[in-house]
Amino acid sequence: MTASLSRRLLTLLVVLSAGLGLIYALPSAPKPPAPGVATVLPDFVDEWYGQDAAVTEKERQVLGAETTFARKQYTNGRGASIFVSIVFSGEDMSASIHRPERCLPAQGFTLVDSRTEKLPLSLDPTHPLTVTRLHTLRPIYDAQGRPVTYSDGRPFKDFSLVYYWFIGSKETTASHTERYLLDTRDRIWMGTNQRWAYVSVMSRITANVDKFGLDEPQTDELVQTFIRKLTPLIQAKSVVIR
Amino acid sequence: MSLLKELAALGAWLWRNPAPALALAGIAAVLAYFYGLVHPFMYGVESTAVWAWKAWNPEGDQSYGMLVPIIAIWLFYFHREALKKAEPGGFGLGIVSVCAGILLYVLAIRSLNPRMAMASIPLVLYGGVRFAWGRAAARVVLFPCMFLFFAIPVSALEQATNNLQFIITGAVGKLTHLVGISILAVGTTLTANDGSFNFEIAEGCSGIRSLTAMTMLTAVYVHLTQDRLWKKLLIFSCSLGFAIVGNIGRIFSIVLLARYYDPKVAAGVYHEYSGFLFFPIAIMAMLFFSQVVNYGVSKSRLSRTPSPLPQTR
Repeated sequence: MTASLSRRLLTLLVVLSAGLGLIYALPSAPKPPAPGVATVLPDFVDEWYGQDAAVTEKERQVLGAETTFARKQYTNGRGASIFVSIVFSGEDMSASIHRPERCLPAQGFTLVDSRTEKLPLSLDPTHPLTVTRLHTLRPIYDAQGRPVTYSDGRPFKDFSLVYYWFIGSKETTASHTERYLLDTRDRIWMGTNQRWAYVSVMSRITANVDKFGLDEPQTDELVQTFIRKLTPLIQAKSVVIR
Repeated sequence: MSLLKELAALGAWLWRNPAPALALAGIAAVLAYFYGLVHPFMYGVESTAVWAWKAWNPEGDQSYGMLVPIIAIWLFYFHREALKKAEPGGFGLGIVSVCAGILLYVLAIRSLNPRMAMASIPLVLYGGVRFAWGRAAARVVLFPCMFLFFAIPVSALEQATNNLQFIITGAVGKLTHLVGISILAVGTTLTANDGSFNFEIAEGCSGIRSLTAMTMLTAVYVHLTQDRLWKKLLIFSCSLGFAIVGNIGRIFSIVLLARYYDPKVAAGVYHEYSGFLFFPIAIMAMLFFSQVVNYGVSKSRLSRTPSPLPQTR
């Protein structure tokens, strides 16, 4: 009985040593490929002029130390404003790249709905860029921390549209899950830990705050047109649009 | 028999059987080396163990991970008599599980994925027990081994808890209307129509901490108390529902306090400590559901569980 147990334990020791030791036979990992998107946003996107926007201290604390950012607030001559943010991952993907469905509520936004949109691009008209569209709202508070209300007592709500997608070294995706799967595929087959970029484009729906503001469909059109113009300026031509 | 006596008996067995003792020490050393000393992660500076230790942090709501190995070891200890009585035999398939664990570990190193490396540990342990001591012993340790999967940090799951926030906000909104409190429930916010309070149902209030804690608790509960596999699976599959019920009860109590006493107290001190309300409510929901599932089963029959060997019929 004991002899048989010893034999099996010894076999197990050999199997574990040899099997786990296979890691020393793995090919060395190649240099990580360059990100498929520019690390700096352009100053001008057609009629839009962009100014650098700050990265908050909380973002720097929450996201991994190697996370880098490109961020601008674009405005046009008609008073419209669009915020663009690109977050580049560091070594620990899960500490850098995350779904905005998670971080937006932490910033006080509430998600009203979420869906995907396909935007045809001049880069590759046969493959529209798939993006995730979020409709968000944020209550506004006064200096005393009380919700700002209309005259009839209803709380005032600030609505926005957020479009986001991810760009790897070779392809794009609108889905966080698919980004994870693509990343795992590349890590296993090529041994590469690529830098993913999380691109988000956001604009407020100003119809309820400004007499000449834009309603939801108009804001959709505004943001989608902006993305069509921005993408060829920042995205590498080699990246496959999905 | 006390823990010290058990350890003394184990020591005596190892002393009397030096060959298996040495082999076991070798296996422990190999596992400690590959999981504790080989450091491929985070630019080659962190081992699987170090990465896990750092990932089990309160900032990511993952600190419960530290409890998982302790609970798993306690479960091994709890089943010690069944392990001693386990008949040897049926060793072969154990090596398949060991090899699957090895493959996962190698893939984890190749893909620089520490979570995958952690996932290989339960497979290696379960397969190792089955290969060395046989099918009966492996059946006893199956649950403690699989329980170790809870130790893997699951930040991705946290991102999936938004829907929980919506469900909880909506349910609390309906409950408050039932008791005559007029509030606006939109997305994840609850706002009194008279503007007296406004609550955001944050992730921490509805998400991963309570969900994972309740899932772990339900897993241990069904493992120790239920006598049929279908009951275990049915009750376990409802653990998400228990977490939701617990959170609805907790947040409903905050709204009641805000409406009838003081919104500042409700959002402040009470909110901080109302987490203690979650577990009693969620556990009551779990026990109630367990009673429903076991309706008609005599107490004497239930009290016979857990059997020496977990039943998996």
